[in-house]
Amino acid sequence: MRFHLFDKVIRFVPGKSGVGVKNVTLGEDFFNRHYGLTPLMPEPLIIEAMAQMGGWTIALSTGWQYVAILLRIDKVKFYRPVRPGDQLILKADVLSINESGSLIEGRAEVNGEVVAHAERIMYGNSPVPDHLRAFIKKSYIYVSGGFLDREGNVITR
Amino acid sequence: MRFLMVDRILEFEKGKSATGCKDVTMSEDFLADHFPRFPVMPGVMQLEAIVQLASWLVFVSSEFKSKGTLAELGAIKFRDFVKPGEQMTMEVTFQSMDSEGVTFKAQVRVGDRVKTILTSARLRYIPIETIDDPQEAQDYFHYLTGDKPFGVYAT
Repeated sequence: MRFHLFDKVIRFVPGKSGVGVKNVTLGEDFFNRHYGLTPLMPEPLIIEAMAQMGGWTIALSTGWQYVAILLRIDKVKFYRPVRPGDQLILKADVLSINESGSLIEGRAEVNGEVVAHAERIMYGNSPVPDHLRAFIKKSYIYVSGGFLDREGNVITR
Repeated sequence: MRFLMVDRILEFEKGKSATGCKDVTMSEDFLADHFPRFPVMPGVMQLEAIVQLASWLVFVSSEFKSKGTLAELGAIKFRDFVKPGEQMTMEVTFQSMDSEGVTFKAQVRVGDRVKTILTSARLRYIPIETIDDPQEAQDYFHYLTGDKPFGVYAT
């Protein structure tokens, strides 16, 4: 399986929040044996989806000065199972960003109903070395799903 | 890939604790994206390994009637990277069990080094027949513990 847990970004406010979409489909690798009779999305991957959305928001907010590395997750609740056909709306709200680390509050919703809520996701901010900045930028543009253009600017529609 | 994050159950005590292991190998699919040019075992996949081990412990503790899905997570701390070539040892300890679910703590070690600490989490019971074939799940559990072979060789 590929480890991209959101498909596209739909909203972004620098330093404040990012919203993304994850379409959950039966073709996903993780539904193989999870479970044999009923496909349910593994809860840790819902956390990862929120965390990736948060990491993307941090990296773009700092202009790719930092990439966010997951350090700690606090107080997550899961309210209902996520199944193939669900569209997850991932909301990452920035609680703080500074040079050493960042804090994000994450929410995952299906049809306006909260399915998972993470009170605090803590990241260590790792400075991006100059020789890797172009590469990192390219991969963040790639995962934005058409939200950013080739130069990394938000495409206004 | 198959979403099976426990390779072996080394030991367990019903209703109390379990130890399992998972080998991390460079050929895992998710290492390609996590991260490009810097492959490390994703923290949430370690969490999934812990949850699966805890779920197996629920399974054997309930006399093979239910498994568990993650309902709540108190806190999990990732102290250090787990890299391809390393073997994760997961240790799960139940703190309390009731009619709805189980509360537990866990840690992930590589050798003597503690890499990840989960201070508390809660699994909600889910009847085995609603998610998996009960007999197959039971056979697979015995395969993981090394009690008996699995599949066509199980005679």
